[in-house]
Amino acid sequence: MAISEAAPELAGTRPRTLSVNWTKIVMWVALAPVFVYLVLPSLIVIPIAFTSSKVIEWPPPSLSLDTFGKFFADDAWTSAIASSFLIALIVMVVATIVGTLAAIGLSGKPFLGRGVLVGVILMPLAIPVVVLGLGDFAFLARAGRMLNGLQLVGTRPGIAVAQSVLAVPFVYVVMSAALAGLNPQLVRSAQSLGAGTWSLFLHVYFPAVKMGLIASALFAFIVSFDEPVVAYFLQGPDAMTLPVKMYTDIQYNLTPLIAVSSTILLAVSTTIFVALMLFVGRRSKAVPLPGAAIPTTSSSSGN
Amino acid sequence: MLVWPLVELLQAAIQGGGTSFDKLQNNPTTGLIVKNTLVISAWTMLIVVVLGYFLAFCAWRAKGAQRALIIAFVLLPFWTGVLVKNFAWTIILQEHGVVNTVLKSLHIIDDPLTLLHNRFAVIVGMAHYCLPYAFFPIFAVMIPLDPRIERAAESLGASRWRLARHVIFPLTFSGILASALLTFIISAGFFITPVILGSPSDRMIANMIDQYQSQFVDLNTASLLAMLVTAAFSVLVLLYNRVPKEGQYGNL
Repeated sequence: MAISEAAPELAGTRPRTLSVNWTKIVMWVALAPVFVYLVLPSLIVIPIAFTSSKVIEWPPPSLSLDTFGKFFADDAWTSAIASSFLIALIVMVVATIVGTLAAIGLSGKPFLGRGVLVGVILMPLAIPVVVLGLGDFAFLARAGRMLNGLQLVGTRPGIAVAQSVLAVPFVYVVMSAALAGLNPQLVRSAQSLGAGTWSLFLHVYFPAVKMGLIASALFAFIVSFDEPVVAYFLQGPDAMTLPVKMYTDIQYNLTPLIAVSSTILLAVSTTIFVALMLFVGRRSKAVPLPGAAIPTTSSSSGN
Repeated sequence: MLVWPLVELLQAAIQGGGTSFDKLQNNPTTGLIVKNTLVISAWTMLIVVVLGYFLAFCAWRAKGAQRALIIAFVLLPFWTGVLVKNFAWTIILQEHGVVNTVLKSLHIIDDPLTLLHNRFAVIVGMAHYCLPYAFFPIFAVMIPLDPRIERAAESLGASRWRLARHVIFPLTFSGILASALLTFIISAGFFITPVILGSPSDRMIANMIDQYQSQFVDLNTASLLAMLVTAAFSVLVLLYNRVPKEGQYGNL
């Protein structure tokens, strides 16, 4: 029976049967609740941010901008915004430079110990971030003592340096992919024509990997901006990022102000996502999607 | 900056040595927390592998714009910070939250259900976080499968069930294995979600490390625990790296 049914279809002589469409309909009906599950948590915070109520209730009784006003009048929250942006910008610069240099150094011919170096660079992806957070705390405390009592734990630069380690693997993977598209003979011919290190970088490497650099920088920024755990271990009175402030407030002070913070985080990551799609997604296939392309991805920004 | 923090932990762990180990052994919650970590991670893994497989299968069957739509939905949680997600789940699941309000207005329930601050909420939140990580390894092994194998199996007289059982499933098994290991690894390291969505008895191993550090101010024991966790994770990561990833049936 199955044979007689399937054979004409294979030959393409019979129009698609109704049963095929039913399968499709069943599939999309089953997909709908999964889609709701995936999307709802990303959108539900927005109406709460515009609530007129002083407590979190669903549905919001009416819409107003009062909560936003209160949020920006609150020193603790505005300081958290400043910390988050400042730290993410430092991470963006540091991680992009370090990750790119590593990718350039490790591209090309394999050499002894290359595998080990790559393993070390990618290591933060495979270690629970809570272990890194604790390690960063212990390390920065000791480094501070050794540097004449310099305060590193509980400061914005301290958090930025520690989070850069989390962002470097992303930069490294993106830049390695971008460099793979660069013809190594181009480098050699430029060198033979007398190009120095700087002009080699400016005229050979940079144009070839420009899109990769933009993507790396955006990734590094968002890794830091959304990262709660390392920032939690290294937090201080003047160095509390938005996710850490939210973590504390959700437990002890549940107000709609957290929804405003969520909306800001959401707006920033959406902007970066759209920027990635617009600038990078179309032009270069070499830039991988986060997670999908990273070999031993564990969640770096996370959980 | 990459390696030194770990060396620092190793040193502190050795410094604490046997004393720290005894502390962990005599702590009555150690057993509970290890059990929590394993049970919660296993449930999360099971749920996301099933959902991820379903999504990957749908994405594989759909073509063009429909496939892009499914992938876009799967990717969306990637772009939402973990605190935003956790806060969203508290809005959705709390006593006067979205789920209870909707169920009440539909007269399905009279009294609000307790959905927040329990294990159910932790698993819901963790599964939501992990789903993209379950989807991609499975989808990666499915892409190269020729859709005509379905018809080939049908034309040879296979029923839908036999097709799934004997053709699709074996061909995608390595993807399932990779996605199960990956999501288990990610789940076992969760820190934020058990605290925000769970009850105090749903704490996991990462929270215990934090507890020793910030509550008991015992860096040595926290370090020892962190080193033990890292060792266990390394085994899982090595296993994960041995699973064949994508396209080994590409020339089918």
